[in-house]
Amino acid sequence: MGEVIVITSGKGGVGKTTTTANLGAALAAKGAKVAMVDADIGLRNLDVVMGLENRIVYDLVDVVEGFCRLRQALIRDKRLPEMYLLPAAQTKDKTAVSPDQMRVLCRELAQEFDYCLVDCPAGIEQGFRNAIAGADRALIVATPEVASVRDADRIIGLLEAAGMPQPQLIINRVRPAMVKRGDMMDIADVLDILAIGLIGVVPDDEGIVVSTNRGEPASLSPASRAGEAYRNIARRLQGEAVPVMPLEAEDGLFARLRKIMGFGH
Amino acid sequence: MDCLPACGRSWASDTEGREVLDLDLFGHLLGRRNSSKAVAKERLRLVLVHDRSCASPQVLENMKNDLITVISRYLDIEQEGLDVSFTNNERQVALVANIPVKQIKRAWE
Repeated sequence: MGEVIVITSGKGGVGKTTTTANLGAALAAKGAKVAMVDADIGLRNLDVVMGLENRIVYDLVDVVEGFCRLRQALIRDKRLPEMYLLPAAQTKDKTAVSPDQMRVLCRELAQEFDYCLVDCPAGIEQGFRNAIAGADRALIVATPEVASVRDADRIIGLLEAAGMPQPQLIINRVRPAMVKRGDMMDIADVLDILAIGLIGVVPDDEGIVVSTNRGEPASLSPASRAGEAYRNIARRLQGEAVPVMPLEAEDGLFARLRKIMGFGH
Repeated sequence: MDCLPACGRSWASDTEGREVLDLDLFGHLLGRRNSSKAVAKERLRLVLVHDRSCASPQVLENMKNDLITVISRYLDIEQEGLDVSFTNNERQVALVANIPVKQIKRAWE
């Protein structure tokens, strides 16, 4: 029996979909059988981030409504031996699926796969309730900014109310240079406020935009800094004790020049 | 949103904004900058107290009613003018109750 993990955040645009794609790819690269579910019905995105948008035939709503079998809707990612995507429907809305149906779907996936990663939509309405319904475990993505941390706090409260035990936090898009000069909350600050367990820290990395442009998860390219952070989180999900990698500030000539010129902030 | 009236306070007030700005200018004059992360953390701390208590809008109201009951034993207070809210006081969040007193009850009453 596999594990169903929901990736959520409350606030939009903090990197839920990117996180789902990268963790899925990192887990599959380690030999796990992985299914990724895009639960953002009406605004599907995981397919483009994964570069699988041209291969969609059926979607999550088709499965739930019985138009096709689960097997038919799952798109196999050929880059890795056992990585699949269940895309969201693009023409329906969140009400097309109920939490009970999601629970059934997740159970079915958990029987077949080691990991089922559910990409949760932004917000706290039905889309959120659907996405968490079948999950055994939740990862919360937050960037070190006030709006994101505030929304993460709200999500923690809602997960607690829904009986989800101990969500874990991914702090995304940390900019070490800004942290160094006191203009960005650091890991300790965010943990101090949210008071939940940390499962990983991902540095802000331009390479993520490039890999998303290409539809190739960064965790599959060995040189990517953010990709390395995601690979580490995947290992922690599998129970390995991996230390959080130190984030170093860019200290090149350009950065120093800017500081001298007084554009440091 | 519906929790705003219950809390009876808008925390994104201009006064607070100006206060932050003044601090920053002061820091500049002294040749150092008030770190914006400290400001972020402080503001978050306060807003989360509101958010967390507003998760059940009844909490603040219940607390207010309990306060009235207890304080009325000792003081004659104006119940309509009573205001209970959270505020951030230096490094921590404080509960501030503004309770207009009509008169102090005599000890022998």
